[in-house]
Amino acid sequence: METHGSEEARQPAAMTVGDAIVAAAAEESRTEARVTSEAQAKNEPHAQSGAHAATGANIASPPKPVAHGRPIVITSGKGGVGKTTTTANLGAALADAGQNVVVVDADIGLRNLDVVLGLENRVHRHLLDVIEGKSTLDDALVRDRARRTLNLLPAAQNREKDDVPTDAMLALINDLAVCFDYVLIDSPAGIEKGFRNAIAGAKEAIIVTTPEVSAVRDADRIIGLLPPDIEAKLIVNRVRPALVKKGTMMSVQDVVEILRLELLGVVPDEKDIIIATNRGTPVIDVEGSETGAAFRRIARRLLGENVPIPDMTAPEGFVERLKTSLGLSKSQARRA
Amino acid sequence: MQIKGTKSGLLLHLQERPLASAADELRARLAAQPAFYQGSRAVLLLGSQPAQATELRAIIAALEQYGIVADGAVCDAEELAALARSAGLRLVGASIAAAPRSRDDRTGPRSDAPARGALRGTGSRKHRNGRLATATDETVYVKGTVRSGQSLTSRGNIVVVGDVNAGAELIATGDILVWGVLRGIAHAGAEGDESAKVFALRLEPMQLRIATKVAIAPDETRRKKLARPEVAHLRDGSIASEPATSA
Amino acid sequence: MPGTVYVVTSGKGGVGKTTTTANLGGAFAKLGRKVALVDADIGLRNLDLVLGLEKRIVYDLVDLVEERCQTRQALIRDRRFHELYLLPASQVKDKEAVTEDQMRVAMRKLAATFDIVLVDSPAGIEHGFRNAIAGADQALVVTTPEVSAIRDADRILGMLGNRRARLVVNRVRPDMVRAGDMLSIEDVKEILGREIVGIVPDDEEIIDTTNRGEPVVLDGSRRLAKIYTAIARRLLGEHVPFANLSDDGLLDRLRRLVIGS
Repeated sequence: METHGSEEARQPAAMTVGDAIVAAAAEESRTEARVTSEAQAKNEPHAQSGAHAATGANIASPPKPVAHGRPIVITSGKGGVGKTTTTANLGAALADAGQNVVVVDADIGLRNLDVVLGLENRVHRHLLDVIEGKSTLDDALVRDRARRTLNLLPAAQNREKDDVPTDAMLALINDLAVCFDYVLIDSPAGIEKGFRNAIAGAKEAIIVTTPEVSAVRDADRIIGLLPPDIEAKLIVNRVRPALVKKGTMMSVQDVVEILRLELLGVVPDEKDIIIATNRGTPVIDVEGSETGAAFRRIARRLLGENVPIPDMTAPEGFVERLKTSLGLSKSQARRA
Repeated sequence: MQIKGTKSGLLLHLQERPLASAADELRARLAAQPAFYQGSRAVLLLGSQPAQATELRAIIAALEQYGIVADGAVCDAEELAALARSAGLRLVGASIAAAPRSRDDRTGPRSDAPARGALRGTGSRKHRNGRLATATDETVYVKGTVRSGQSLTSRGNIVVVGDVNAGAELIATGDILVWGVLRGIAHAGAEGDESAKVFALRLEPMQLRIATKVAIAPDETRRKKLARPEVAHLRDGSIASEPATSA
Repeated sequence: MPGTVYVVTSGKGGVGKTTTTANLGGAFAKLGRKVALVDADIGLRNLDLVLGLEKRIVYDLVDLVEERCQTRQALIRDRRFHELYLLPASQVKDKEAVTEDQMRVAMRKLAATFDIVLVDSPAGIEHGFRNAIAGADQALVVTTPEVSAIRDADRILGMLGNRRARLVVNRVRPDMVRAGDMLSIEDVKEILGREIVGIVPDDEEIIDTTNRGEPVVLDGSRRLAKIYTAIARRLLGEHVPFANLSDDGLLDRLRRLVIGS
């Protein structure tokens, strides 16, 4: 177990899930719309989380902490379009910019955020342990060695998404928003309970899609399922300018025309991504990666900077540089 | 025999069964709770089984006994359709039967709200087929994009100021107007009104349905259509579209 | 003899379940089998898109299990193949609209009239996945040679009960395997411990054919078409050796000799 040195924004040791639930109860009226009747039916009495809840209910609560952090869910509908990669890289880039960040893996049973960040060997406790009172938040959070303000709250691998009541997820996210500047929630694919839990507590959403008909269709579905008070923006991932030019891939404009969301960023496709993922390195750390550069730009936009989105299909120079970074020569590009 | 409740009334599943015994079965079933369905309307889901006019009339009578008005039928065969018509039933499109239930089929927390800023107004329908507007007629007016997987149903007209995306569906007993791009499915005249129309600033639907007719858009290559308002309507028994320059 | 119901699943999303279902189905049909493809991804349907049949949907799986229509009304015939049918998912409903029992009954019914039924599973391990496997006799687990996908496939393999499960390894890039940047087929086999029934190379062409709704197996001369046909034949019991994917097969064999992997 790591020792935490003198830290500014560490959470107060007294904060437990029980306390967070007390704080969350006050917000109930605003967030009620998000809780489905199913979640209410399955709502486990928080007394089950043992000692923590009892403490939370009986002690005189400290003055209600203000949640200043931004809870953002990264979701897509379609699987495999880059949610986890986006969450990891944006988290890392924001941490580099001095922000206190927690990335939350909400894909219970199929966790991957830990792998993408290269932290899988340091996962001891997870999100479900915290919710069920078997662990404090402190114990479950994994802090990145290279980036001291980047933390991971891992998912459980051997459990199921039905095990998490939506109310508890809501309370947890509110809790995290008290301690961190950015709470990035990596949503699972699909539109089922896992997704509904992932959006619980989020105030903003980043919809990730690729320029393909199926992905755009699924993204549209997801957008339609978001509560009206969640502000949604769009990232178009895996853009291949050469194919757009050839006419065999949708353009970013095509995608925006259908989804009608504000564009947060465009990320080009690169071979580097797979290599980085397999090695547990965020692609923003790969020298000369255009993909990494795109994620950095997106982080700056999140921080409020006005960074223009480069037109990936225009300059010849860019396409050439892209080809080089893909390591494609003519003979390799054409298969036998 | 399944009896399902929907926003527009009851659906009686009568496919794949001989109708001769259906009336008695129905009576037995309704006798258990005589007042439960009082005042409801019902649509009969008939398949393509051979049937007699007397059998159909018996079913309608059985329903009436318990205060249920049978006023529509979904039929899969021409002869059965003719029988239904002569028994006084309107032919209803498949979509109405398949339209989401009032509660259970919907997805997500805000599926009841079609899009942001929806207004409901009571519109009066023009004199159509001799029918005056009734108090239950409405125009559903929606601002914003109707998204894939969302479904709007109206016992009246539907107006969308925004796009209707592929995977979305609009089902109206009256007309449908889309002040945007229509890429999804639109079913106008869903209860049999063959004079119903579908208007759109850009008509690029997955499927168009008017009354009981279905049309599939022709396969198009990736050509960019000029933004040209069009209207689709029934002409000589099939769906045709043309530029919408005047009413 | 009822037909065989396969569920095509993966755990991780985006590895190619739907593309595999469509093309494998087409390959079976071209081999003369009567095939039904079922989209179990209710609310996020895509199989219809990949097959280019989306405009012809009137009834769907939910209508069928709720008995609003007959089987023949819900099945869409793909006339480009000899006997290939699609049972589409609903887009406006969600996965709770169908129960596992209903799926079992529906798949039994299909197996009675079809030689092969392929069920396209949604991503994940939730209700939709459980529905998809409910009516299946066997499983085809699709994975890519990447850590995340392998991990998820491993989880899935543990949830398939007694069903026979075989692997399709998708999006293989021999150049990356050579450079050590991607797991090799041997690696995959060792980690997951199941028979591999297909190795499909990464190919740009797939994106285009998917977007246009034209499964690549339509063109029998294409490399990918031959590969899907080989998978179909293996599933039918034939012994079909795997094609050599690398540009330089000799180098691969040498490498294996030297490194002994």
